[in-house]
Parts: sequence; structure tokens; C-alpha cells
Amino acid sequence: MNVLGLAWLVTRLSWGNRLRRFKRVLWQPKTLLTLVFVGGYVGLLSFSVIVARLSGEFVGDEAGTSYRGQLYVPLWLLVLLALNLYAFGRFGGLPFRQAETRFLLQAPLTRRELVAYWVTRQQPGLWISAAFLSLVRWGMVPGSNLILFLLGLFLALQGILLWGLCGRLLRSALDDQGRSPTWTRLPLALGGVALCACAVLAYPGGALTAANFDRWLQRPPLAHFLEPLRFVVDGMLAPTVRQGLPALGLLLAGNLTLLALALARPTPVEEASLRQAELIDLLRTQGWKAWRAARRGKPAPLEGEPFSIAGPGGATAALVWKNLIGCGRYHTPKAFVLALALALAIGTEVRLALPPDAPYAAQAAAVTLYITTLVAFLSLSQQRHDLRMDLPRFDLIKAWPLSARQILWGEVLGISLVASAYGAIGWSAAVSLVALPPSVGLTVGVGFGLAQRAAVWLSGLPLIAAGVLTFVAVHNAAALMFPTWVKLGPQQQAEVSKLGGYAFVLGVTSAIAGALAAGPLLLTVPVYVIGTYLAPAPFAWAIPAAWLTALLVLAEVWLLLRLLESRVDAFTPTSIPSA
Amino acid sequence: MAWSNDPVIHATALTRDYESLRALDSLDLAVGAGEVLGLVGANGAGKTTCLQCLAGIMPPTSGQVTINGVSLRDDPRAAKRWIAFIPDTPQLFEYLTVREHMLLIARVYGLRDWEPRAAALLEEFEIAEKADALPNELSRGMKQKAAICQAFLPEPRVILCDEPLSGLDPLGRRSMREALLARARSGAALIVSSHQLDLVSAMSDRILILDRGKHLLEGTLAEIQRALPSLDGNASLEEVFLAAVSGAGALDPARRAAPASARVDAPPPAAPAEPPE
Repeated sequence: MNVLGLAWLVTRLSWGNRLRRFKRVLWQPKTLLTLVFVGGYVGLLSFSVIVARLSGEFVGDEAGTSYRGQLYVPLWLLVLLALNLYAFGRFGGLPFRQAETRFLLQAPLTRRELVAYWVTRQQPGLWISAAFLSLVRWGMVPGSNLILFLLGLFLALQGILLWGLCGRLLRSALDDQGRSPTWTRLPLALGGVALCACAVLAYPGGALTAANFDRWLQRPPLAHFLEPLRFVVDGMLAPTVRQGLPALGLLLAGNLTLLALALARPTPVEEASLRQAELIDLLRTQGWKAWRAARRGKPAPLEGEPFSIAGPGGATAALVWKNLIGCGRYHTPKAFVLALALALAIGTEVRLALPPDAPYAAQAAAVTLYITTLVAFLSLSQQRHDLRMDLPRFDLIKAWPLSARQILWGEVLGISLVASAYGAIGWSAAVSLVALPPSVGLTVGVGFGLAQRAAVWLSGLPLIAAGVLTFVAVHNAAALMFPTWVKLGPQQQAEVSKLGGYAFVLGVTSAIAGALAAGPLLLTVPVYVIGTYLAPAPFAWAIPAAWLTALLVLAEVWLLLRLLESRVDAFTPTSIPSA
Repeated sequence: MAWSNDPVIHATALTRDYESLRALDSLDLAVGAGEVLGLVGANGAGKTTCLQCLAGIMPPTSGQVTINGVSLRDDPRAAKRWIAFIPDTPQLFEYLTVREHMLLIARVYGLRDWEPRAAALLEEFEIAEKADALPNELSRGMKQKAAICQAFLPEPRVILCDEPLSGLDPLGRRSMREALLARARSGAALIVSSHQLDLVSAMSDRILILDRGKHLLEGTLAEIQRALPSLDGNASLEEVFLAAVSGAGALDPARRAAPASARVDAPPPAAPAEPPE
């Protein structure tokens, strides 16, 4: 009944005006942020409860096999499938960049050759993604073969890509005929129904047990729906080549069918591709908000200023103000939601990698800390509203009557404040999760009292802020010292050829930031140890040790920025690679 | 156009090297209040480098720049307070509205009571109705106007323009030229670098021709024409420029126009300037 009710709701919301009204209210930034923070916290809690309860049943059943892979691989594929259903036919044309359209659409190529070129161009990226995901995921699926896993994942990703391509071509053909594309809502509704069904049946305390869930997966109608996914799963999880090859062969055959469909007729894709290229260019240079506004054909509403700088005051505050506005306007809250979703997904993996008998508090704290770090890191790497964004127009800023110190601190502080705020929210959630009362029915591992939790919370906050500031300062230093190696300006995607360089710089700068933070820790950990030895009070000495660490790190950052001042003075716009 | 004898911007022996390339070579330059200096030269002659050194964007390898008597090297913040630099491409932050750009500039320059001035500037440049628009909602010309409004907000004493009228329609070019000249008439020293020689010729009191970073010729159009014996007195700036650049070695040193620093600051130099390579 619940499933039918939810299905009705999703269908009504999809086809009625209610969705528009709902979205209008929902996508107000303040509403959405509130929902994200409150909902994220509640969701995290619920998710942890679900995982904790399921883990006791799913690991080591009577057959002695692990259900982890068998449960989560289909679930994640289902999510991918639902997303793909949603995106299927939503956009037309081939997603080229503007630079590509300038020569590709004028080149003596047939439409089929254009499609073939696009498919070929995606292959290296697919291999890289499959290899990366295989390395990350493979160790968590006991008994599977790495090569089979890689091949299966590659074919699965390629299948999704080809499916999306077919959707794009179909949409292009419909647009060319002037037919309405409202039918694309149907897959959306179907995907939503499937997801809702999973969510309802997975609710803790419901009729779900490991055995029931497994039977449910095996039984029609879901079994029919999941059958294609089983090929993927079987292929990826097969321990031997003999078992894996038939499934991979079926996957390959499916992909070839999709490719044949895509190449079957010369679909007119030029006009839609040009439009897509404009949108992609807009997305790369001006972010999600401008992209969405252009797609809808109306300007996006602007968020207000973070604080007023109407009166006279320091120029550093003006630069911080500018960068905070940039952070707020460049990315929609949807980007943060996506980052949080990604963090939750990877957090799940971390949770599953932990021993099932680990104390719940430690599990929850580990997952949430991971999520905190990832969200803060993603916000840092995505926002980049500091020198990394401003160096391409550094001649403008250098013409202003500002000292190098004002420029550096003004650029570094804005994004540090944002990322620290995100980190502090995650940290607070982690500490709160550790504080779950025994009535929840979970083992509170360490048995933190309120005072201890407060001490841990107060210790973590300065460390997060100091860590973020160090990371930002080191990245800005790298941008100033090696501008050709750092992604500069409002680019959202990197060229594949430059990814290695960017990854190298990211690794080096992260290592340097870690070294900067590790030095003070080496000094302050003894303070904590000796203090606790002399006056035993659980975690009480963590507060002065953490604040001392943060102050020392801050001093290091101050020194680093002081050293960079001469570099700012000497920096010339000609050092910047052309866009 | 009349100007005072005190140079507002004064550069001496300005040199800038890019590794093995010398982009500016011992350039002397002085512009007084209310004066317009046209900077012309072929591509790679060093015009933009010169403007960026004068604006404090790029530190010169050697040489000295003073703005209102303040050394740009010794006290850059005080010196830059009087400078407005208008690059060839309008530099705007894509996430700030036009009004927020003005607010940012007011705060960076520490301006007080700037709102009426900002409103007047936006009205003057006919972008008041776009005050709450983001740069991506503006045309190229409007972006240029917004950038110029920002530059004029702190009431600069020195205005450095690098191709200020590029991308503007004829009407926009005329109004922009008038706006720049109005600032000069109100006492600002204006240096205009452009390949549009008719524009430079019409706007400038003096013209400085650069060739591979070196001071080639300087003076009024008439003075420069006299320095080129092969040209008649009615030659346009374009003809003068082409003749000067193509036959730099054939210039008559005795008939060269006097360097601006000598003309504005002090009596003319006793010896003619070193002939260019």
C-alpha cells in the first residue's frame, strides 16, 4: 500500500503543477539549506541506524557468505539506473564543447561519424573511471576477480553512456519533428517508484530481514526489473573467468545493440549540439547557476550579501566579502547536496569496510568524520573562490591600492570560512552521533559523557579551521608559485591531458598541508599526554592541546603568507597560462 | 588643451625584461595634469608592458615611476590610490553585480560618500538600469562601461587606458572618448594606448611612438612630422607611424621632438636623445 501511495505521489508530482510549486518553495536557498542541514543530519542518523541493524544480519548468514556486495552493488546500480532514466531523453544533441563544435560541425563528417567520434572520445574516460572505481571497490567484494570486476564495470559504464546517447539522439529526432517530449516523465516516474519501493522495504523495523530481502530480490516483479543488472553484478563479482565471461558477453552484446541503435539512422544533432555546447561552456565558466538560468531562459535570482561593507573599513574585509558572494552565487545549493550525497555514498563504503563488531559509536564517528572531511574537501576544491579564481584577472586586483598582505589574507579567508563552516557542521554531527543514548538500542562504545563530548567538540573546532586554512593557503601558494600546474579561473572540468598534473599538484599540496599540520601536533600531543598523566581527566587536556595546535598552525600559515608577499609583488599576469 | 607644468605621472629609465627579451628599454615619460598622451607602437612594441609598469601591476626591472610625487616602488598603496587602469578587455567578477562592483571599489579605495558619485557615473554611462545585473547579462560595450565606471569612481589623477574603445559601437566610442577627455579636462593625466591611430590623433596632446620597447619619437603630431623629413606637413598619424617604424634608423636626430620629461619638467635637454637601434 505504501508503495502504491508513494507511486501515486511521485506520478502526481511529476505531471502536475504541484511539482513546480513544490520546487519553487523547495529551491529557495534558505529553505534548501535548512532542509539540507536538518535533513542531512536526520538522514545520516537514520542511515546509521539502518546500517547498524542490517549489518548484524547481513554478515555471515547460515551459508557463510557475505551479502555486502550482493546488496550494495545492485542498489547503487539501481540509483544509477534511476538517474539515467531521469536523464534519458532529457537533453538532445551531442555534448561537445564550443571549441569542438567550431571544427567538428564544419568538418566533412557525416552524422554517424559524429556520433562515432563522440563515443570513441569517451572511451579513455570510461577506462579511467572503471579502473579507479575497481581499485576502490574491489577490495570490499571478497572473492571477486579484479580483471573481471574492471571489465564488468567498464561495460556497465559504457552501457549507461550508450543508453544516454540513445536518449539524446531520440530527443534530437523528436525535436526535429516538433514533437512534445513529455513522455520522458514516464521513466522518471518508474525510476522513482522503484527507488521508493526499495526505501520502504528497507525501512528498519519493517518486514525486512536478510533472507526476506534476498527472496524479494529473487521474486517477480522486481526480479524481472533487476535481471539485466544481475548480468552486470554476476560478471563483476564472479570469482572465475569461466563464471564471469558469459555475463560479460551478454553485457557486450547489449552495448553493441545500443551502439547499433545509435548509429542506425543519421539523426539531426547539429542544432541541439550547438545549444548544448553553449550550455556546457556556461557551466564551465560560470557555474551551475548560470547554466540553469540559461536553460530556463530567465535570470537566476541573486542571493544577498553575506555582510554589509557599506561603511569605510579594511580592504581585506572587502575581498572576503567578494569571495563569499562568489561562493554563494557560483554554485547552487544543489551542488552541496550532490557533494553530501557523494560523501554519504563513500561513507557507506567506509562503514562497510569497518569490522562489523566494532563499537557503534566508533563506526558512526568514523563515517561522519569521513563525510565531514569529504564535504569540506569538496567545497574547497569546487569553490576555489580565492587566488585560484582571481589570478587570471590579477592585473585588475594589482592595480588597486592594496598591499600584498591584504590581497593574500583577503583571498584566503573567504573560502576558509565557508569550508570551516561546513566542516564544523559535520564535526558537530559526528560528536552528536557519538552521544546517542542507549535507548536507541545500540552499543555506545566508549561511553562518552556530556562533559567529554563537549571537550572533544571544542577541541575539534579549532583544528578544523586551522586545517582548512592551511589547505587553502598551501593551494594558493601553489597557484602563485606554479600557475601553469594549477587549475585557474572558473573552470569546472579539467582537460584529460592535464588531469595528471592537477592530481600531482593536489597530492603534493595536500602532503605539504599535512606536514604543516603535523609539526605542531608533534609538539602538542606531548602536552596532552603529560597533562592527562599529571591530572587525569578524560579529554580535558584535549582542549588546550587542540587550541595550541591550531595557534601554531595559524602561525605557520601567517609565515607562509608572509613569505608569499614578495611573490605577489613580483607576480605578473604574463605568468598565467592563457585560458 | 592646457596643462600644468608638474607631471602627475613621471617615469624615468623604465626598463622591463622578460627573461632574455627586453620589453621596455630605458623609457622616460612624463604626463602633466590635464594632458593626454597617446601611446602607439606595433604589436610587441611594449605599450601594454609600459602601462602595466606605470599602473604598478608589473614591477619594472629597473627605473622609477612616481605618481603625484609618490614613488610607486616605495609606497605603492599611496601611489596606486591615484591611478585608474582600464585594460583592453573589461575585467569584471562574474558573480558581482555592477552595483556591487562599485561598492567593492569604494571599500578597497576607502572612499566616503561615494554613492551619489557612483549613481552619477552609472547615469553618465547609461548603465544605471543595469546596476543590479551580473556581467553575463551585459553586452561587451556595457561591460566596458561598467569597468570604466569602476575606474572613475575613486576620481583618479592618472588614467591609463589600454585600447579603451575596442568592442564599442560608433556611438559608444564617441561617448567614451568624450568621457575620457572630460576627465582630462578636469585635471587627470591620461595615457591612451591604441592601434586606432585616428582616435589617438584626435584625443592626444602628445604622441609617443614606441618601437621594440624603446622611445622612438615623441611630441605633437606636427613636431613628429618635422622629425621625419620624408613626410610632408599634412601627413596623418598613420603615415607618420608607418614612416617612423619602417625607417627608424633614418630619423634625423637633430629634428627629433624633445622627450616629454624634459618638456614638462625642465628645460629641453642639451643633447639629443640616443638614436634608436
